[in-house]
Amino acid sequence: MNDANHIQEELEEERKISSVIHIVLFCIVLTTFGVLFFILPQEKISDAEKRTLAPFPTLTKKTLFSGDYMDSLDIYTADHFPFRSTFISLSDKLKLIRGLHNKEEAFYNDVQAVDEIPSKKGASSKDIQEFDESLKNCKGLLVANNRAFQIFSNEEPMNKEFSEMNNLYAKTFKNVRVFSGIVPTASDFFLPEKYEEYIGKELQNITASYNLFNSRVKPIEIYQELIKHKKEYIYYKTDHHWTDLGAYYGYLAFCSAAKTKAIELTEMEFKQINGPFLGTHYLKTKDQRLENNPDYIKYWIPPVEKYAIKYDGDDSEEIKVFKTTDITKNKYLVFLGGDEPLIHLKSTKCENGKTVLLIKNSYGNPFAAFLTANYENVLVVDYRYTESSIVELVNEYEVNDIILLNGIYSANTPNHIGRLKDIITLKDGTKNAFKKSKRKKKEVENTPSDSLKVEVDSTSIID
Amino acid sequence: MVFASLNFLFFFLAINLILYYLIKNKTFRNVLLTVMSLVFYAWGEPVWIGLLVFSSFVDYIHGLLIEKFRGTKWAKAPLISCIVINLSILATFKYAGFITDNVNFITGLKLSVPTYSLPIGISFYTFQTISYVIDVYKQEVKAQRSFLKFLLFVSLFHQLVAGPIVRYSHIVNEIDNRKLRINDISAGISRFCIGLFKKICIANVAGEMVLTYMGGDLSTLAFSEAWFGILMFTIQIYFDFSGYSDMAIGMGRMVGFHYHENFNYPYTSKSASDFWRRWHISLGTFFRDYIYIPLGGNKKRFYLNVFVVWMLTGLWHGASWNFILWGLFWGLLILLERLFLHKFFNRLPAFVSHIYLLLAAMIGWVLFYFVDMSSVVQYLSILFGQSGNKWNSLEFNTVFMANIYWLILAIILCLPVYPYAKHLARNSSLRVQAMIPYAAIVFDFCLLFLSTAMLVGKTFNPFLYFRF
Repeated sequence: MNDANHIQEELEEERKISSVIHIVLFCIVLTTFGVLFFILPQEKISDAEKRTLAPFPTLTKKTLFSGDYMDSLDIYTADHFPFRSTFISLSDKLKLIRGLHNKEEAFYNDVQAVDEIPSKKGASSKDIQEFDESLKNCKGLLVANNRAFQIFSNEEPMNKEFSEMNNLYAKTFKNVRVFSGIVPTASDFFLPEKYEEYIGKELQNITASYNLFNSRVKPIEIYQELIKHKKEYIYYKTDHHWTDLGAYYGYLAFCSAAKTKAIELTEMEFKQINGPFLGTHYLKTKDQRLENNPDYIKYWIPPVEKYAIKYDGDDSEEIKVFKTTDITKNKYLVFLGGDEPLIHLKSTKCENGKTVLLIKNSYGNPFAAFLTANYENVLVVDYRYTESSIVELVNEYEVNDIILLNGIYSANTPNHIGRLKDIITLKDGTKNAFKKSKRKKKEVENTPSDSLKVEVDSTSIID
Repeated sequence: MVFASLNFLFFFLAINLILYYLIKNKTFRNVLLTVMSLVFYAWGEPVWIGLLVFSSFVDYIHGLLIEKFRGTKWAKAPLISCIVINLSILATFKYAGFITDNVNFITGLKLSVPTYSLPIGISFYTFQTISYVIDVYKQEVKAQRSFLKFLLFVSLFHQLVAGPIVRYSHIVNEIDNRKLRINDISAGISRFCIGLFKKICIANVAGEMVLTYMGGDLSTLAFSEAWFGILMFTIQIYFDFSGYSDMAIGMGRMVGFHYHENFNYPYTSKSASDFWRRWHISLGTFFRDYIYIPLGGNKKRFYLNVFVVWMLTGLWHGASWNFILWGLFWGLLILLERLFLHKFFNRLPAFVSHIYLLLAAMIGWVLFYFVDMSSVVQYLSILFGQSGNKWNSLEFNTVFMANIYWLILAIILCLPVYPYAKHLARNSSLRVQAMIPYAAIVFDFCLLFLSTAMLVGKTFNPFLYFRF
């Protein structure tokens, strides 16, 4: 009996010791992460995610009382947490062990649709993320045959809104030809047959939009051109974009709509970027099958001597039409170096005086270069990065043709359509208002006489 | 602030615990807890913090007034005034929109619908203070003389935003005298880690799938997906809510408070009445003690009492008709059980009763989830194969299989595995018994790290109580 008591006491004592260890460790672990958070150097950009990490929020009365400040702080902590990448890969692994995985196929239902990679530095990544996360009609991501597919559900088609927006372009620009094209994803062409209920949905949606265009908006039959070449490398397997070859077939479709002679593939110089390319689909899923079957970026350079200038607010800079350096992290940046508010491609040989305005998201990046074969001036506007009117731009450059190029998801998402509408309906009287979107904010703070000078300056840059 | 967030875990809680253990003075400890609770609340509701303090002050004064007028003809006045004020605050901030909507609908008027946001936790703290004044009036507790201590009771961040509804009488002694016991703190930490895991690794994961299947387009939802969706919501709401309660109870124990249990494996129930003895216990007992029994319980006006209590239970969960229907649905089941269902099921094997309860709970959650009736009808018609939707979809098969182990784990955790493990431990050899506390420490840190990884890896962290 005594023995038993003794043992019980010892156990009790043991328990006390372990409890103290428990408590001390718990407090130490919590505090250590808290302290490390402040000590460790903080990254500004996440290479793995290809995005700018949340900056430390600024405290204002408004953000404090609305609670936005605290929300931003929460996001800030999550974005800069110690050993963040280790924790993220642990959580990716956790996801894998949640169940059994088919060797051939996987379905990711919590993956957002994407029409582009937020690639432009300095752009408010939050805005872009909002654009991205708002994409509608995506059921998820399917990996099959070592290729990823976005599953287009067509649950909330926006054909009416989309075509109305296009018709508004035709109405606004009476002396300009308006072309509009919707780029399908790889799904309709490459989905395994057992997913037949989804095959053809994109075509159905595209046709529905095209049918509602008025006679002044010329549809670009991209789908029909691509399907002729479905055996070729027209889509990346690990990324949501079309390849440069896919974009070339899109260009062929445009040329036939515009009744102009297209440049032949053989007339162009073929190049390939060194090293494999793993795109957005891989980044979102980290799927092993995609990792083992990476893409390669091949591209064709039109034999036109040309140069490109990008404009961002008041800044302008000459850029490469094909950027081959500094693109290891995101090889899709080879096309125009990524998304910019406005890029002007000017061909020095093709002096026909013609000007085209391409209004696009990232699908347009590989498409733009081909247009230099047909136009002396190619203006490329990314509608997501501009908040001011492009009407002045069209008048100033005496644009002959406008091309609206959308992906299937952006063509069915209200705020993409809304922004495309905004950029021609916003009342913005000043000449070149487009380029000054950033400076304009400053004007309010500075003296009005400053702004007058700016206006003259920025006009001279472009002329 | 929510418990399941990095800022809470690694800054707020860490600072709170360390300061608390460093301070030895009782009053300073109470001041610390109160200040931190106010910071906690202001983090999520920077404006409504004023309402919380105001509401506490009103109740504090009323408690004193009740004692002052005791024995006089005015004795009831402060009680009534306090309940009226509390319910008016609740009505203004939680039900104003609902009331104007319905008044507009019935009378055809076009009163403007208030658009301000619902102050988080208002349903919880209002009920806590109502129970306080009633208890003071019934002389079950003495009125609190110190406003600081009273504010501590109301605002204590452990249970402020998501329950349990802690009664003043349960913790009155601990507000003044609470002892920090080593084993208690350690057990509290374990409880907290388990709650964190339940919230982040089970409820949040289930929540994503709820969004996919219940939150998507119902016209294309397959039969199998609909059942899976409601199963996910059944899992989500239990693990979310009980996880929060676990964390509250755990944090209470870390600083010497002992709150009552709020969940007791509700999905193992065999009847609706059993379910409500195990689900959100603090709410059920509140309605029992402060409404059902005062109304006459099952002795007087039984049917009316059941109707009133269950309608109010529904309404408490949200200002919308679907919640009222949900409450009445449970009330009806409990009534039917009393009348004949109970006898009927008693003659059948136990598993039939379990299936009945689970089905009832899941159907109930359909009512709970969809605010609009047309979606409820549509969802139920899919569940019962009456919608003409397809039976299964290919992508569902892969999702189901990709989560099969997780699903099995979630279902197992609905069963009383923890008490069973404890029972096993008690009956094991002494050598094993000596090892168990250390194994438990390792286990806790695994839960903490897994949860942290999930939190960092995913920003998806919804808060379910915005309607409560």
